[in-house]
Amino acid sequence: PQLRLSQAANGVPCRGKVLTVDNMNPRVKKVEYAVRGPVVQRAVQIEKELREGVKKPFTEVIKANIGDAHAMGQKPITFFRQVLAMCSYPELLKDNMFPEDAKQRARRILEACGGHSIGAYSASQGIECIRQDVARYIEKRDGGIASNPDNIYLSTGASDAIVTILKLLVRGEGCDRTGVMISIPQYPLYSAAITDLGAVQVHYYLDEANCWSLDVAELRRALNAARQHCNPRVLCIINPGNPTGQVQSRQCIEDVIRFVKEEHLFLMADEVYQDNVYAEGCKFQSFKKVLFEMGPEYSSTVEMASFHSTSKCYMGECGFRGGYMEVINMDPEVKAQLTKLVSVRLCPPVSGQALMDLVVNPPQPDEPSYTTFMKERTAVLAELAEKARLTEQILNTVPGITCNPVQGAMYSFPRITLPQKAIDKAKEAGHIPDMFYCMKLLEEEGICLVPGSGFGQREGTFHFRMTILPPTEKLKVLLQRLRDFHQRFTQEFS
Amino acid sequence: MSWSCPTVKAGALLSAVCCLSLGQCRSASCYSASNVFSSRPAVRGLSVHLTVFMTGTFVELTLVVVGEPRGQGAVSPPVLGCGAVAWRERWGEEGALQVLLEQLASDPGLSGRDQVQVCCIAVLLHPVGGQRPRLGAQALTDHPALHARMEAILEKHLKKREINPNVRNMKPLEYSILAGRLSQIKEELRQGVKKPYQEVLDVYMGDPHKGGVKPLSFVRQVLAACLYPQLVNSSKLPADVRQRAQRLLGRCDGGSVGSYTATRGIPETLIRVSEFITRRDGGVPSNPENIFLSPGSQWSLSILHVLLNPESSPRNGVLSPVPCHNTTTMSVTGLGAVVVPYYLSEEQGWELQVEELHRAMESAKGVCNPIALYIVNPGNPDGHVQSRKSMQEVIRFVSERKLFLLADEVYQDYVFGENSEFVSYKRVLSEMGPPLSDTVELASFHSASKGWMGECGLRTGYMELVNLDPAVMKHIFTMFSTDTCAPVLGQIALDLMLNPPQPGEPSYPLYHMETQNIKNTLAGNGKRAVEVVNSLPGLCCQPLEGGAFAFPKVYLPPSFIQKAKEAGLEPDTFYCSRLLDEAGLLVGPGTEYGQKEGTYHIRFCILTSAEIMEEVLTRLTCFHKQFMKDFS
Repeated sequence: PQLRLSQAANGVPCRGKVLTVDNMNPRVKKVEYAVRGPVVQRAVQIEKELREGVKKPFTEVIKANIGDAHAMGQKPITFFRQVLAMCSYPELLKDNMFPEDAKQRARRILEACGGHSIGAYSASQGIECIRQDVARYIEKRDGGIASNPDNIYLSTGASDAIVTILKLLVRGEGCDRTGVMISIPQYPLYSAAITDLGAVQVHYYLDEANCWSLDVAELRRALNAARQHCNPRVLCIINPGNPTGQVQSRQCIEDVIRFVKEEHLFLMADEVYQDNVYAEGCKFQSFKKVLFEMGPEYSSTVEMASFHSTSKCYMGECGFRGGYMEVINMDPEVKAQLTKLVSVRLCPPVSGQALMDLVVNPPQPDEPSYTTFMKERTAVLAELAEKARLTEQILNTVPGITCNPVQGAMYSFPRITLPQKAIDKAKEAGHIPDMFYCMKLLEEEGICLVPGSGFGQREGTFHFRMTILPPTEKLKVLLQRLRDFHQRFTQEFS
Repeated sequence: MSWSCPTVKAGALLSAVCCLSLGQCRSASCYSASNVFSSRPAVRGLSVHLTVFMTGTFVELTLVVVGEPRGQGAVSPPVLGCGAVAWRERWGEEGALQVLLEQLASDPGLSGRDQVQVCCIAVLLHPVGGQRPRLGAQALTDHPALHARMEAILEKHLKKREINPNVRNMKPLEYSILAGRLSQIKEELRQGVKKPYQEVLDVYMGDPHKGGVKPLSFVRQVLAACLYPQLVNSSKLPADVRQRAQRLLGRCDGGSVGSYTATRGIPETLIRVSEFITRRDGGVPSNPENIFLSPGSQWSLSILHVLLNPESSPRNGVLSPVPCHNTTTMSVTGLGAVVVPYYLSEEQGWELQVEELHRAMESAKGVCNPIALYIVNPGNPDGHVQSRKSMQEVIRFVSERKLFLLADEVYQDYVFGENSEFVSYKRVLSEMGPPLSDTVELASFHSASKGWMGECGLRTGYMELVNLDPAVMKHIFTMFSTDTCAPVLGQIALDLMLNPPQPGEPSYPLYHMETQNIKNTLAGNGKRAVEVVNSLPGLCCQPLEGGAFAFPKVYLPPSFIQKAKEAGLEPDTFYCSRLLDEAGLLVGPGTEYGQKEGTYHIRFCILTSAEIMEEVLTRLTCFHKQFMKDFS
């Protein structure tokens, strides 16, 4: 039994709580995080009920709520895991079961660890040789534009780095409070962190009618409106988009950079889906590359941070909590403060750092693991591309659902038309209509999605976010059931 | 109307004299502004109209920016000038300001807020219905939108990125000074520069693997099999290792350590943690629902973030020991709260005395409102292990004073004092019975970085919450869920740490041998460190009862302190930097952890291999003897 507050024991009046909902940090109280919100919590309950033998119209819950590739059956990249296994248990280096290039990588990583163990703390900013590898990877990715390892900070997943930068930049009171520009729809990590830090969310809307594209006129509108009540200092961009799956064009990136320079904003470029680009004619271009190609007027002034992670792309290793950020044009004095800030949490997980190293420094064509590695990588990305196409196609056959092409990332964010009666019913019960929809979908079909309201959407429109990660066959079943449900739902409430 | 024109320093721009008012008449501003400044001797400043649309009324503002050339001293009146130029008419608001600020920026005497003194005077003189304009900062307070706008424009044009003042206020690490030197030395050694040592010994952190302690085979074998599941079917690993790996993988979604886990951690692991706690505490129940896994105990401390209200006035405070490892105090400052120090009694073996807690509470009066007490037991850096009696007193104290108790118990396995025993705060609290056991709110921390496996790099710890309001728990859960989850390998390591191999299992003999070895080495190192340190003149170490560090007091001669001042360093940091340079030994200065005014200490990790400990003590001895010779 849990220790509980007793009303009064032995006549001794009970001491009230030190920490109550009334006196706790009011900012924390306002934090919401839909990706792990009520629908997901109910899904976990339902799974438990299923295990206990409760009868349901389905036998398993399909979780398409979170970008968790391995949970959906994606296999890890063999080379990565071989190296990590040897890093964990170096005795395996003596064995002949692993290829030579994997061994060589493991030795190199261990060499860089304190006491040659991944169990030792690293420098707070991350292991130096890994930061060098990251810098080289960025240079190669960006066609030779220089990257300085001193500007690389390894992190506990990209989220950690994002929150750290926000924490650094939030300041001011009242109308001088930092405003952070985020897209609508957005990934709720941003809204949660902004609320938590007591900063102000400044919303700019992506254009659903134009494949969720970003328009600088809208950025400007949002900025000017926000200036009435806060001091916008930061612009966050997610490219490829989460939850919206769009890939930004070169032109759009240039426009954003000009805007950022004019308005002296700090640019946060969330580029964790940089390898997840599927649509014909779309190509990932990093903000840094475009910035430097725009010439010194921009490349020497615009302050930005770009984020990457081991959790997405083809590797999908979420559990390692590996990531990095590169900061550009940051004032050295501010950078010193950043370094101090990251030192509070000692260091990012070394296993995640090691994995990041492998991601930025994969097998090369002349190495024994290259063929297998490329085969695995290509297969994962090809399957994702196929699932992206499939999802869009099937969803668009359902009357009342419209879905933009999933150009990149791991999600579709279709718009759903809800009958007025359903909207009224939901409101009556005190639910947001798309939450009502998703809950009902979960209860009736065992499909777990995240309601659009968790990401933000234009007033009066409704959406959900669905990952494209379930295995193709399961995804087809999911989409079929979703179609049936939507038609049933529409009938029930018309 | 009389004006003074103050010279304001960096960052104080906004407290500069500012006067504004609301109105329709425009011409008056030119007149009045000129009038105000025409008597001044020079004309290097510029002024411009700024119009801001606010709450349906035009606010007109004349900004007069006045600069003072560098190097002429702060006392002389600033060179200033004015002239209300209606640039706005020509270039619009933004354009006009840009011209103004660009001129400002190109002035060699004015290169940014931090380097030059800038005086900014914002004037708006439009009496409304004959009212006098309001002066100074009050006007800015009255018009926060305008205040923010000015700040934004200045930030934008001065191209200076201003950051969170709470982050700025976090005490800089002495480590960064030494780390800079460390990498230089390493580079020099690489290049073959001759030194009296071949490599640097780094015992700054409590990092056993770095100090030559070997990871536990069982733990690493299971991790390897989890990472590369083909090993589960391979005869290369013991059967119980493979079974364990298979079972643990079964708890991961998709059977992979690469998937996310539930927010608080893998559910079965949470149950293992609660069972461990119950076992440890002699049967006191522990609810898995109250356990949160995180990427290390410093992340668990984000509970502080729930406790501390950044908007409260007076600010919240946290009672925190001196000495104390620095990351916690940094977290408190970073959250905008106040650290209220209480001093451990060095003469009494770093005992915690309740009178001192009372004194600390008193000292906070008028400064902040203390809401939590932070305790580290066994102590870091001091190595003291609290007695049950002392813990009971602490519990009564927090109950009386309505404080939340934060018990950092990560060194719970490291107890080697002859009469010392680790007892958890949860257990003592429970044994004290109601009403205390039902009411005192407690967060207790433990970590996979410690224990016998010492897996610091895997970054996982847990926090158990006791007696919290369920309504608050809901918010704590949401807050943790934004961090997604702790690293999965770390969660698995924690599971293994709390559920080691049992007698009869194939891995038990090796596991037992390895852990016994580490245990004995730690106790031996502790004894040896005290012995050697206390044999040196000017060094004095209290008996060590537990923890992973020695924290001896070091007497520094006045001539050395003088030298340190000349070098711009804290005396003990200077000592450490010399020790690093001359003996290749990296230890932490007491300044990093806090110490009584006028005393100096060093901290070093004793959880190393016996050979490394010997080498550490040899280098320290050698250096310190020479040091005493040089400075006596």
